[in-house]
Amino acid sequence: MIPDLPTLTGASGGWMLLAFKAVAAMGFMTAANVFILYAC
Amino acid sequence: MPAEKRGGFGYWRDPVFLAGLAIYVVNRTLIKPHLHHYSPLFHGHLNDTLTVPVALPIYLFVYRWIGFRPDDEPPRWWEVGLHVAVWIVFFEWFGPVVLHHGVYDPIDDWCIAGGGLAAWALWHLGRLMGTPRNIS
Repeated sequence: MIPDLPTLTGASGGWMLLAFKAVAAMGFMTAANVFILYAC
Repeated sequence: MPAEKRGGFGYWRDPVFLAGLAIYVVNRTLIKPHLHHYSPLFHGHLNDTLTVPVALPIYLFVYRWIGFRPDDEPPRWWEVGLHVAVWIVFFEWFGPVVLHHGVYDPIDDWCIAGGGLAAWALWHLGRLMGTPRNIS
C-alpha cells in the first residue's frame, strides 16, 4: 500500500493539514498547467 | 491512498482517459508530422477538446494521493467545471498574455468546455442511462 502525501510528510490534523493539502494541490495544478502549455 | 475506497473511477485505467490519450498520441505522432499545411483541427482544436478527458483523471489522482479527494467517484460536474474554468483562464489568457506562449482563440474555449461536457457524460453514462457503473 502506497502511503499518501500527508502521511509521508508528517502533516496531520486540522487547519494545518487542510492548508497543506490546498497548497500542494494548487502547486501541482500550476506546475502541470505550465507543463501542458509548453509540452503539448 | 486515504482509506475510503468508495467509487470505482480508474484514473489512469479509465477507458475515457485511455481513449483520449490514444487519440492524442496518434495525432501527435502520426497525423501532425504528415500535414503539409496548418490544420486548425489537428494543430489546435483536437488537443483542446482532449484536455479534460486526458488531463483531469491525472489531476484527480494526484488530489486523491494528496488526500484532497475523499473517494474514487467518477469526476463530479463541479470538478469538471472548476478545471474547465481554470484551464480556459490559464491557456487562453495567462499563457498568451503573461507567459507569451500560445494564441488566444475563442473557439478553443468551446473545445475545452465541449470536451469536458462529453467526458463528464461518458463518465456518468451508466448513471445517466439508469444503470450503475463500476470500473475498478
